[in-house]
Amino acid sequence: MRFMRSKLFLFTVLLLLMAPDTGLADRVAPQKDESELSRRELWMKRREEKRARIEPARLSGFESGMLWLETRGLREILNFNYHGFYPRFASLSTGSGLAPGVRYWKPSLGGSPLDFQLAGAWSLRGYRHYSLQFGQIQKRGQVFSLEPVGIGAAGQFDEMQPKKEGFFTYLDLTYRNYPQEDFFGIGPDSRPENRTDYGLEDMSWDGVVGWQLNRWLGVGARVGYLQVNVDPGTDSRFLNTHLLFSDETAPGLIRQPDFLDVSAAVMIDYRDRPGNPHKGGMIGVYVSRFDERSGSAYEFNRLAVDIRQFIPLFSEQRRIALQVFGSADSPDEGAQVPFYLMQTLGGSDALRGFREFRYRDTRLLYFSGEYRWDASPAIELALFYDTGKVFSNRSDFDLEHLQKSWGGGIRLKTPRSVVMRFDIGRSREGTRFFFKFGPAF
Amino acid sequence: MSKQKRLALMPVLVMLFASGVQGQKFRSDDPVWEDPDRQPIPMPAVIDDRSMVVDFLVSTFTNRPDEEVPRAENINTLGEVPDSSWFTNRMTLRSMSIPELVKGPDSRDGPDMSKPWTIIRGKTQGITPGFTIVDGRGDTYFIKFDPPGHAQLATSTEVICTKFFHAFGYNVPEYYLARIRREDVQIGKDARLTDENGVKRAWTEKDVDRIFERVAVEDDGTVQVVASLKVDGTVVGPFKYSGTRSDDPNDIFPHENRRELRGLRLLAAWLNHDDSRSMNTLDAYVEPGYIKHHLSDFGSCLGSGSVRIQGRRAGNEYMLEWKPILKAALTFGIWDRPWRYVDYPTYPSIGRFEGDYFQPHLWRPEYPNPAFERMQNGDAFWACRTIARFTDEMIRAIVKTGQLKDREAEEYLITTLIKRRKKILQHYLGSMNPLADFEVNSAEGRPVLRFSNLGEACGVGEAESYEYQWFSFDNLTGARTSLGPVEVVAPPELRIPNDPGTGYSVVLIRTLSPDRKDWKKAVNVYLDHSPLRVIGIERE
Repeated sequence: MRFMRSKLFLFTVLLLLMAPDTGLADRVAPQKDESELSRRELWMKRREEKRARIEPARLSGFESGMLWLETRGLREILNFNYHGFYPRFASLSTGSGLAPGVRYWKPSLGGSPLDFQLAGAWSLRGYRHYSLQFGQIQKRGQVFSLEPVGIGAAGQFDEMQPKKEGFFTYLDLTYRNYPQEDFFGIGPDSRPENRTDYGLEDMSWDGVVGWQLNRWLGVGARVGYLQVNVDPGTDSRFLNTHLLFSDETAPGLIRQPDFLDVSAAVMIDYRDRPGNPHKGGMIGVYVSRFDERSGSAYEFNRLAVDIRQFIPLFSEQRRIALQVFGSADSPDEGAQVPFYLMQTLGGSDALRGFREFRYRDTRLLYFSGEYRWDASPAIELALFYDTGKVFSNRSDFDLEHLQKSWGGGIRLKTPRSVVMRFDIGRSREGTRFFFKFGPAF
Repeated sequence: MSKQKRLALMPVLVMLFASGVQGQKFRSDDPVWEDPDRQPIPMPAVIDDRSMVVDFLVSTFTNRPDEEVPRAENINTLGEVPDSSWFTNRMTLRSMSIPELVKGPDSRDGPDMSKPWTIIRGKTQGITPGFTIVDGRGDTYFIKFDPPGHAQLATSTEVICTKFFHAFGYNVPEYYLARIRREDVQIGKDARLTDENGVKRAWTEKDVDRIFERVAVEDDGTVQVVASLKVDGTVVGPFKYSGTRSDDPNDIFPHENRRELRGLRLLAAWLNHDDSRSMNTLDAYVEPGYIKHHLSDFGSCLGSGSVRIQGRRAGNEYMLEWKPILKAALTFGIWDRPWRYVDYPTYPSIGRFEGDYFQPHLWRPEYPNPAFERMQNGDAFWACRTIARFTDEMIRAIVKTGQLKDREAEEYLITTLIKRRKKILQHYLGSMNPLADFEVNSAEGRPVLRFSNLGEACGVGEAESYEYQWFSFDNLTGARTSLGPVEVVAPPELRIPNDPGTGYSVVLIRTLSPDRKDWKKAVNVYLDHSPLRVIGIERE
């Protein structure tokens, strides 16, 4: 019996010491050795163990990629060019979709102050845009620029860069072919179910001159020749504008004359950071004259005023952003404004609860107010209320029958500029979602 | 006990013995004062840099501490950090002299100014223009400048903070201040740069002109620069504040569990080193063949943000911190960050640095630092004791190495550092039992354990008495057996009992203070009785 007990004891100890499943053997045997080691010897032992399983230090593929982007990649991507040809990505018109393109840029030709630029972009929906500039072209952020006609009067003042003093003058040749522009009819009573589309093709030959006198005051002028062609739209989901509207309900639908257009603008910009304004404001005034070259049916003057003010609410973190935009086209006696040159409301920049180009007429009044607050320096939240109307009679210049939309947004930004925004707008015609680069205004 | 019962208990005894072996607390050479981590290793891989974005993402989202944070691993049994490839005990164990502090890591007087400097490489674009030069003696320096309108902001800060971090015990590069004019710089024959279009080309005089147009120039036309001497050895990349380097066998302690990196949090808070992240570290492969770990780039410390004055967020909020984001978002911005309204002085050479709003426990680097996040009382005490060793005179002497021309600004900086030092000590020494300097002595022919109260010495509070209890300690099993009741004494001196037979004893001490409740936290002091000496300290 005693023998049996001794065997049982030995068996138990051996089992505990050696059984690999329990792990105890691993703990006891080597640790008995370790117990005799000094602290330094113990640490050295761990080092020897690591030496046996050493692996080369290297960055993961993801980290290597990110590092390349941080140190060289972004700059190389932004500056990538092949003998002066740069890739570019643009949005040509609301609803055009992303438009990849290419730009050829040759600054300081032969050491002179003259630059040359040629650019082309094509969207997946068939929108095309080509431009050629030659002369002393304004650099990004250098001076206030005056854009071609197609940009729209409000867009003239969407300049986000801090201004630097300077002068520029150049020749500008622009060709656009936008095959799916929306048209709902003219006036405040146009109906969403009357959505049609048309193709807009135009070409402008302009001389441009501009001068940024100081940080806050810039002036610009553009003189040129504008050729326009309206074609049937290519969006098969909607009726063609020509089928639902006539030259009476859509002036210029049948005949599109050439124009001599002269425009000038002045911009007073006292925003603290134009791309991410927290205080200050901006006033822009735009005047232009469209002179028909083959008659006098479509001759008119345009005056547009854009006022933006940013009011901090007792903190840099909170602010009210206000925009008032008004535009009035004054046709000559007996003349009309062609529908394709009218100012519009609706879309991501004005009256965000409505579709793009939802309202258009010869006169336009628009107000937008945003309460913006910073959740963090890089995240801005906003609640907005947009209201406005289009009209044709001067007597309707009042605050009645305004269209309304409201909503909210989240914006990601750097200290200098809003990089992107995601806005949701709601109106009686539904809810609209917008993902855009740059600030709302 | 019957034989059967004893037999049944054998496996249990075996297991106890096994765990005792594993848990042996003190080894023959404890406490060690040098970590043998400078063993020759093969040349490791060179990692040019690490991704800031990945470091930010990993530190912010994944590398957060568990609920149970382990004790620092690279310490000796007294809780001290042994000398290593990371750290050299300087102010941690003794007071340095003022000349030693002022000299810092410097091995020379700075770059040779007798001949023009020759640019060998650099960059003209980006937010931090700078270049590498070779001086008349053939030494290589990297030259950095101050932002326009803020002469001496970044350059003086870099030098001042280098002296502090060196005194703490970290390896740092040598930084020297110098005054130059445009004509003191010439372009080397093969000097190349990468321009704003990403094109590599030769330097031109215009490139140098452009740099001098974009930096702070003083009234006399000179430009103060900071010249950092190339560190010895081959740079093999920055170190991370977590994990270990896979190709360095010497690197066995996860960095987040290194006491000198955890405790760095308090030093960084003191000096507002908000940029204490991987990108501002440097590993160099040095003779005779090991990796030496450095902290570097202290331009974003104090009130300097390197290329501008510190932002208001610096030291107050992480780049991405959900709590304030949600608070601001959900209250429609009505809740506002209090740090937005902190008043700062308007010294151009100081920037945004202050000591009134500063709350050391709420101080934050740019984004979470894995080692800082794991700082425990033991780590904090280690750092506090070093900070407490800096006297007002020492701080003054170090600040003067910045050679600030504006005396008022210099005085403000000194006062603010003193104020911040006091706040750190008040907070951390007030939230743990601050007993220190344990030593075996004798009184009336009997051995006693004497200690000091660092909290009292720093004016944090007053101790009424000390509650203590002696235990025998079994080094193999970790078992303690009481050697007597809990007793209370007023003076910081405890009679040491005779060897209880296990060779070790431990005394648990609590400080009783009417104004500092946290001083009641336990400090365990272990004594080795052969010969009689303090061998271990642990803090609750």
